Amino acid sequence: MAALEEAFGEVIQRQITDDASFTKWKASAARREVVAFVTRLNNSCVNKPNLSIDAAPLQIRKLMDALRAIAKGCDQYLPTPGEARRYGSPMFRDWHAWLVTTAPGLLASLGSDSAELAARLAASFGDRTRIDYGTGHEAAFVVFLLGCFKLQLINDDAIDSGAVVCGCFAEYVRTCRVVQRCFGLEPAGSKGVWALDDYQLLPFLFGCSQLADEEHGFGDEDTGLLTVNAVALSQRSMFYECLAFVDEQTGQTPLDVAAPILFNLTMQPWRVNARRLLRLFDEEVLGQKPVVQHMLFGELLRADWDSNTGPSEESERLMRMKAVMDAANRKLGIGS
Amino acid sequence: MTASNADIDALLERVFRKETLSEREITGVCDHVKEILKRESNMQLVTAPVVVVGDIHGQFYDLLELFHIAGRPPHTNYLFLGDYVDRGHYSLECATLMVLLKARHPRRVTMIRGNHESRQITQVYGFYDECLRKYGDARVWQAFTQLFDTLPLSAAVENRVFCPHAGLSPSLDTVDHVQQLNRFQEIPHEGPMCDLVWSDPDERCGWGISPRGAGYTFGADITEQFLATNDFKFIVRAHQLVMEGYSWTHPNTCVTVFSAPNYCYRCGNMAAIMEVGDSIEARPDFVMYEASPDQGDKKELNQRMPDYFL
Repeated sequence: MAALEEAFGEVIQRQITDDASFTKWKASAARREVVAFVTRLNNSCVNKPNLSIDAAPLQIRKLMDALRAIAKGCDQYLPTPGEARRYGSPMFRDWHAWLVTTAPGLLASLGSDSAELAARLAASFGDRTRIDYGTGHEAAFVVFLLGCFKLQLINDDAIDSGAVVCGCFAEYVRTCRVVQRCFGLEPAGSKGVWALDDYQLLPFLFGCSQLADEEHGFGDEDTGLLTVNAVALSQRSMFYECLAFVDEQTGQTPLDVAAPILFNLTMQPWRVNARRLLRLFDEEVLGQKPVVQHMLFGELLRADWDSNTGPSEESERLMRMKAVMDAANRKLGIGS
Repeated sequence: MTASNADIDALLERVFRKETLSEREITGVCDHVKEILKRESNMQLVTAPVVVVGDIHGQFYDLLELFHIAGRPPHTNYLFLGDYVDRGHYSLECATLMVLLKARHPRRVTMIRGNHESRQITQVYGFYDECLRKYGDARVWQAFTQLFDTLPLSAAVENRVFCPHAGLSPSLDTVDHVQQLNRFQEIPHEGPMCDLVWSDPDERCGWGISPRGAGYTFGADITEQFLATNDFKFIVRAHQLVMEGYSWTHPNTCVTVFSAPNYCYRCGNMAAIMEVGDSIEARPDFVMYEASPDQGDKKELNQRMPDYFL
């Protein structure tokens, strides 16, 4: 089975491994570049509805087609009823191996032969080992889009017209939900009821901007329910699609109980929400070591800091932990 | 506080009725229970029969459901495997109930430490904010986190079943090693105490670095070695979400029990508890249950203040 690291280890690596590199990442040009790109994407979708595949420009349509092919791929790996599983289905690993092998071909149809780009696409749908998904995977997809832009697979106009966000990114989130549902992925780093929906962050941000100048305040504080039909409005904004997904997951539980922070968003002006969510992305996704330790660096996003830092407290901790582990494995006669 | 049983019973009744206790009442009982816990050992011995309970994570109404299903102490003995707080709405109520039950029935209720019973984690995953919201300051949170520093790190049922919150450690070959640890501190970032509350069993053999960033992964071979060295039958642990409520990660040797049904209203999982009968040599029973239909009046969630506060 092709694991991401085995297939693409030459072109892409984790670089945030300890406190020292994490501190450098936080102040790095790479982080500023990701934030600037997300800010640009966010500005591009203000007051724009979701874009259907038929109305999308050619390159965006091809990207959306690739995402649909990825979703369709799940059909070949459907979990069998009664299989042994703790939480998520181990069939996810087979599907993920398929994705790793398939990604280069999908991108070839867009005119790209970049292995790094294929790796970034394959890294956007969950963790193969842990069978989970979190905001780090979503961030990986944003960097994939940034790479598409740098390799000129998508141009300025595709971005600033909102087609990338309202077409391609919205389709990405739908694809993620197909995968999450199919394999029952575990939410990575779950914050439980204090999360937005336990998987995503950016569709809430972009979704709020899509509604920027619309009326707000459609949560009923007495019942904790919405006064609008999110499913019926799902063409209008990713935010409604998110609400429909949360509703699907939490069923009978009123929204203000199942997701009080999300309910609160429905009561605030959209632009206020978008500003807060953008900050949340910067601080709670890009600013959290457990998330960004999985971030991949290569030519399209460079670890632009001096990695030659000498031993830090954290790298020494990891070395100590590894030494303990190796000694214990040796004692049992297991090579490590 | 020198609390009489009658005092504690009165507090317990109020908590079962979903009343919020005053700051002084909570800090009093925490101080009292801290002294009980300090005298317990790193691997606290538990006698059968006993009901073993996994992660609760602030799901108070489901905890009440559990007591409906398995009975209330002292009629049933309990071993709670940690992670009482964070992620759910009612961490405070869950922690309060646990501590009161421990105060009232110290020999029939055993509670050990999970990775969420820590200052650092509770500030990120909800318990700290919940205390601030419900009391206006952090003193109740401080009282609980000081108590968390005294919780045992593991238990052993009849000396035959090893029960940590999470898993094994490459630094702990024997029970003696566990007993020698100095546990009275915040959970460290590395080392055996950290591993007991963070590690996961894995399909891969040997020891591995955990993708969680703390603790290790350990294979069935490691489990077998540990059981053989220490004459244990199997390991029961919590720490990971399980769709069916319990799952044998290592067949016959390491089982995961998770006791928060429909986790955070959305995961659709069953919860389970493990019942060990009078004979430890008999196979344990797993009782699965769903979320309580009563999830409380949401009016009490955010605005609720203790009586004396109003």
